Amino acid sequence: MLEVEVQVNHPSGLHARPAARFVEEAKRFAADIRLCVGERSVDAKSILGVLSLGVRHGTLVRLTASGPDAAAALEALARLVETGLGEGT
Amino acid sequence: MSGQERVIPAAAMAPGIGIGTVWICREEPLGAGPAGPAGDWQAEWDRFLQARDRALEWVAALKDRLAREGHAEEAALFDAHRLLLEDSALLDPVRERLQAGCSAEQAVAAVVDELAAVFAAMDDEYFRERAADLRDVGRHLQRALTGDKAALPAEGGPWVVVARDVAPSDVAALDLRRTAGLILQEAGPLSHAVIVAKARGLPAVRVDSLREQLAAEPGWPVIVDGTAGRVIVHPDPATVAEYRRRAQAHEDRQARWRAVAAAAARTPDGQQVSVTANIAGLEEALEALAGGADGIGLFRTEFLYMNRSRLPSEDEQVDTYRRVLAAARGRPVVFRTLDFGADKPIPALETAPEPNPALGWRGIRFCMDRVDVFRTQLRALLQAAGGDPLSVMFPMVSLPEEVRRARALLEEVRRELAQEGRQVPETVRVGIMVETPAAALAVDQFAPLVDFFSLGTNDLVQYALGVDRANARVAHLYQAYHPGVLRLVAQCVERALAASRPACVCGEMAGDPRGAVFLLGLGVREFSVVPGAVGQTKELISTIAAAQAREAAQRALAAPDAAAAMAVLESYTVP
Repeated sequence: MLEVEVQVNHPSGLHARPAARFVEEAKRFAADIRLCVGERSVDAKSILGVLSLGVRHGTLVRLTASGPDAAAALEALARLVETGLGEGT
Repeated sequence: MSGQERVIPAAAMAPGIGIGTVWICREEPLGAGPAGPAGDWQAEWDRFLQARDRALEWVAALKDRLAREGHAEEAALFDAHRLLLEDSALLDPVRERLQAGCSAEQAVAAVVDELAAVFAAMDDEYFRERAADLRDVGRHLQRALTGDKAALPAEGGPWVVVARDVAPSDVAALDLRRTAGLILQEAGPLSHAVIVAKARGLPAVRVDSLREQLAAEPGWPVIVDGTAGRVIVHPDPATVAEYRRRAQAHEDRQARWRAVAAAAARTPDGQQVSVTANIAGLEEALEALAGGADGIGLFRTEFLYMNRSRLPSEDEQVDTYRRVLAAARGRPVVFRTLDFGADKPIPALETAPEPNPALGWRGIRFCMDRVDVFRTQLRALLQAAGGDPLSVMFPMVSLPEEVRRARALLEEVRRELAQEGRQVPETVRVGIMVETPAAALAVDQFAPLVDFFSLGTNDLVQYALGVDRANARVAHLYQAYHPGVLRLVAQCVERALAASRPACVCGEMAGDPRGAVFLLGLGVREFSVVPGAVGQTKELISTIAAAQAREAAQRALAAPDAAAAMAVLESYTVP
């Protein structure tokens, strides 16, 4: 299992639109991907799961992945989260 | 006159005026469906999946419609709806309930309720509003299951839709030719329903109680004023005529201001004037800059610190400041350093309440005591600017010594960052907010210490008059055009300009057409106003020559009282 830690840079955190972008990106991969904050961990391909974490701007999140394209998945998702999920600038 | 007219106060949610007939949205109690066909959960699951697919088609159609109308951002909201309809965290519990013998309608209602409760309990407003999205998806599923159409106007009109709350997808589905406005009982400013209403130009208000206050019945004539925040039930014909005129004027003005905002402002006699925006949030900054503001004249940095339990990190601040600078594309951005005070407490700072917060530990006074907090902000600002110029201003200054110390700290931090090998601006433009009457009258003594002044007229007026405008008992004494206030502002601007320092005005006076005429007449050439007033202010400037404004200002200064001064200034503004 691979793991990476990133900071959420979208100004309003992982709420509706950014969360949707994140989940759609996760769904492009076959790997089993999880999004974790502290002790809580959810399926990164579930919008309900991702929203229920209530991740705000600046939060440090952990992404874990296992499966064939795990490395590529983590790289793509980490970049997406760090660059503010395609919004803002 | 019919004599039945009643005016009901309401909260303005989306600007504009709508005149129409009451359309009451039928409340749809979720889960009223029939009991499940016992034993055959597979058939019920298939029925559910078919309904789900229909709901997916609807969501896609709504998204297309908003995108076609040019609202790409709002259209993207429906991506979340689609993902919800595909989410196993929603589908799995539904299936479990079907297996336990529920009908599809009951299962959807129960699961949506359960999941929505999780969001409703969250402490961040953004996430709480997501409960509404989930309920919206639940409603789609119910409608698809029962074959019901949405309870929205499909013919006749124009209608004013009255509802306890309304789903964003309902607002997106409203036929603009048939819908004049919205009256809601439950809708936050961050709710997607309101965001979509604003984007589509649908006026909307919120009332406290539909039943008691509105007592509206289907077919009653009603006016929604989403600009002023009021509802008029059974309006007299004269009122309707007046509001029709206002609605038309509102549309004309909006179109004109949008066009004017895009260009630079210049008086008829060729004086260049900059009109920037006051902002208190990243999204607001991006909107203002996209809408034609000449920059950000007042960036209230407090929003970064509020509604959270920990202070924002240096990196987080760098990131936010950098985004705004990037969006400004070289247009000036003036960052006001943390204006903390007991009247807008920041939980993360854990300070005690004060008996007199307006005169207490706030602004630069606080920052120079909590240097740890201030230093982090200054480091972030300098790093965000990198090699580009940076403008900062300090709030609530009353003594030159405060400016000296703050500047020294700024320089110390700049050198520290340079030593760490980071790119920092060569020069930083430093200004102060002029908010205390003492500073206003002594700006010449501050002039050698600063590059510019920014008049925060709201606090200046409050301190000059000794009136708290938020206190209902004395609010009527708050007169921004009191002769004493006008003289104070005039002397301040005069002394600043005599010392060759620009005097920007970022208080409400700058955004009020009368105040703008007065300030222009005093020689102010930098106005910073709420984002929505940029176009209006630019238009005003394009209609009044500097010489004429000077005359207006002199006459206002000679006026015996506030009412007379306002009347004089009003006569110089565009009707």
